Amino acid sequence: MMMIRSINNGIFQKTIFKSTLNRFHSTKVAIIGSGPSGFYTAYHLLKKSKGDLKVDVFEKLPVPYGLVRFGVAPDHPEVKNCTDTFEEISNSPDFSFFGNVKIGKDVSLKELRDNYNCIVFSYGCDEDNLIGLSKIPGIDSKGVITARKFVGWYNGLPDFQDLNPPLDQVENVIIIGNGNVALDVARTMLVPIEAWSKTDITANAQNVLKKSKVKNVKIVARRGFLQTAFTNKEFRELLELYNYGVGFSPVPTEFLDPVRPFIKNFGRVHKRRLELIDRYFEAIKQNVNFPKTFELDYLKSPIEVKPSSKNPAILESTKFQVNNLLEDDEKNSTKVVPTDITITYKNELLITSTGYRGSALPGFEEFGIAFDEKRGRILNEHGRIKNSKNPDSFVDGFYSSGWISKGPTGVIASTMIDSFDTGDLILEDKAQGKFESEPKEGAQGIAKILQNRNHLYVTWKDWKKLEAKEIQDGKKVGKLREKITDVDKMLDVLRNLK
Amino acid sequence: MHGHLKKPKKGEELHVTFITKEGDQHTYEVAEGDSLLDIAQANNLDMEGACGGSCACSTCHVIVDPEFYDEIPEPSDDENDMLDLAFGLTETSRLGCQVYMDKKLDGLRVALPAMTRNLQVGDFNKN
Ligand SMILES: Cc1cc2nc3c(=O)[nH]c(=O)nc-3n(C[C@H](O)[C@H](O)[C@H](O)COP(=O)(O)OP(=O)(O)OC[C@H]3O[C@@H](n4cnc5c(N)ncnc54)[C@H](O)[C@@H]3O)c2cc1C
Ligand SMILES: NC(=O)c1ccc[n+]([C@@H]2O[C@H](COP(=O)([O-])OP(=O)(O)OC[C@H]3O[C@@H](n4cnc5c(N)ncnc54)[C@H](OP(=O)(O)O)[C@@H]3O)[C@@H](O)[C@H]2O)c1
Ligand code: FES
Repeated sequence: MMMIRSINNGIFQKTIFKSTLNRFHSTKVAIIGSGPSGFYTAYHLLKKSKGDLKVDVFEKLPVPYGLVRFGVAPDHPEVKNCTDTFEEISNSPDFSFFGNVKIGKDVSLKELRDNYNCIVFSYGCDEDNLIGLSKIPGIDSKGVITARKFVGWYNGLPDFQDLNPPLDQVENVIIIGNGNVALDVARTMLVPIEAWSKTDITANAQNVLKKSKVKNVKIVARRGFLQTAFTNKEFRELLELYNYGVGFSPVPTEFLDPVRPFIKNFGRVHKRRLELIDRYFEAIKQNVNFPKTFELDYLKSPIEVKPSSKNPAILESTKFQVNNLLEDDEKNSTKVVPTDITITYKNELLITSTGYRGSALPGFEEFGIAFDEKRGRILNEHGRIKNSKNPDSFVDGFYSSGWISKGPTGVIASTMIDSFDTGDLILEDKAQGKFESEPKEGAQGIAKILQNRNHLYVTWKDWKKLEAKEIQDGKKVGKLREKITDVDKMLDVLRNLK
Repeated sequence: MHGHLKKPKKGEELHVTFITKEGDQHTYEVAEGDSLLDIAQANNLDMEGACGGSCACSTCHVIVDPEFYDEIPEPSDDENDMLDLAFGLTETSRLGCQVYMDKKLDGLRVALPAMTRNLQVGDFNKN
């Protein structure tokens, strides 16, 4: 099966013709963020509009694609095929890319608003969710790393290239939280090093993983089996590692037995999950001598982290409180109720994988853009942004899509659907004449501002040059690409090519 | 490449009908071995196929007419994993990139699910 595909069958070519007719009257849309939500919103707008719309995507990094580049695991190249669609958009004459432009810093929200009829916030969630963890004694020890940093590190996110997790001194890892990110981290630590040799994982991460002494990864959730957050796809991938010397420790019966009698009432996902556990355990139970293992643990919350007294880079142990669950049928939710029972596990590294978190941009107050501090997302109704001064009304000309709009959950498919919906809303508002009031300069206006500031921005053509270099460097070592992991270096490469 | 179909040999044309979200029906003559994703994309239907047909995104979800469902070879584990994440999953849901036309499927009818924001991945996960 070929993984490349042609899309749209020339939809964007058609736009070339239409756009010349409407160049001077087009609606200017600025999208902040070039992850899946930014690109799928752009794609939908360009595909469904009548050629009277220009879309510019702003990205704070010199390189596009957000978590597709810096989140999705290097051994999931097929997931990244969505960039084929994003590539196609870049061929449209109605699209421009402004890389290395952080909105709120390099260009203010006000400047953007002055140059565009419509602004879409698609800038994702790039902080750690540490709610409920930040007060735990010892949590700021060196041997505690957030999953977001760890993932960013192995995927080449410039901010975290100095992380250098002490994997050569670690045998036992505990991961807090059991979402798919937790499983990505576990798999990264457990798969044989050869698994990375052809991927786009960074050379630095390959070196550190080569020296890793990690033997056991324990994934600990605060709630029970039924509240497991990972999907069966990621789980099965981890289970399949038994073929590569990674065993799966049986899930303690105390977590499974209470739910087994209700299996008939389970939805498809839970049924399959339990079935997978039983099936794979059956397959591996003959072999007890796996050099590496992973295990699932439930109903525990960390309450104290103890750094090693001999080596500040690592931990000695982590103490947990055992939880009970209280079902609230009315709210259809389960609440964690702590007991007095505690348990201490020996571990040298703790990874907190308790989710990502969004933050407000400078300028939100000025425009009355409401931000939900509790959940770390823009307050909106289906992508229409609430007015912070009057929660019953919306802020004209501003929209949101993707993680910053819905919160930091959902796979690319759900981010895509959300972005299409936001796109439809914008087109609806456009059809009602909402953006016609004044002509805006769009890309030209912003380019002028950046040039006046002597700020180097990255065009799509520039990115393609960077990408060509990455692919070329990768080829030399048999990898998909060798990512450039430093912002200055990226810009230097471009300066030298100019 | 996806979206490009081979022409069926004369006399060996198979038929497949897609019912769009709007309820329109489109019937195509196709060749044995074409995937539903290829057929939909070649005909500009709204089927995203974000992962390029490699069973890694679930954006090619189709609902199969129950009359034909059992004629299609059973979904693999990989397909089931992705179906877990499909929006508006039904008893006869399949992934368009994993279903290939063959003689038994001549006359197949599939519907493209309406993708609405009311149904979220989490709703399936956390039921
Ligand atoms: C570790 C990890 C692995 C994942 N793996 C998968 C997977 O295998 N399959 C799958 O389907 N989904 C996966 N997901 C989910 C998927 O990545 C998300 O659904 C999707 O990336 C969300 O898209 P987004 O555009 O909202 O945010 P992002 O992808 O985060 O994009 C936001 C972009 O905005 C930019 N930005 C931020 N602030 C500014 C600013 N001020 N100015 C300009 N630009 C800014 C950021 O640099 C970034 O490029 C994974 C997520 C994570 C965290
Ligand atoms: N291959 C893939 O498809 C893939 C890979 C990676 C990520 N993704 C997607 O990206 C999204 C984000 O993934 P994620 O893993 O970051 O988020 P997630 O799925 O929301 O999981 C977060 C986990 O952290 C736990 N948690 C939160 N706060 C906690 C606290 N204070 N103490 C203890 N535990 C806490 C949650 O438990 P509670 O449920 O109890 O809150 C949950 O187990 C998900 O939608 C995921 O599916 C997909
Ligand atoms: S095209 Fe991605 S799963 Fe079928």
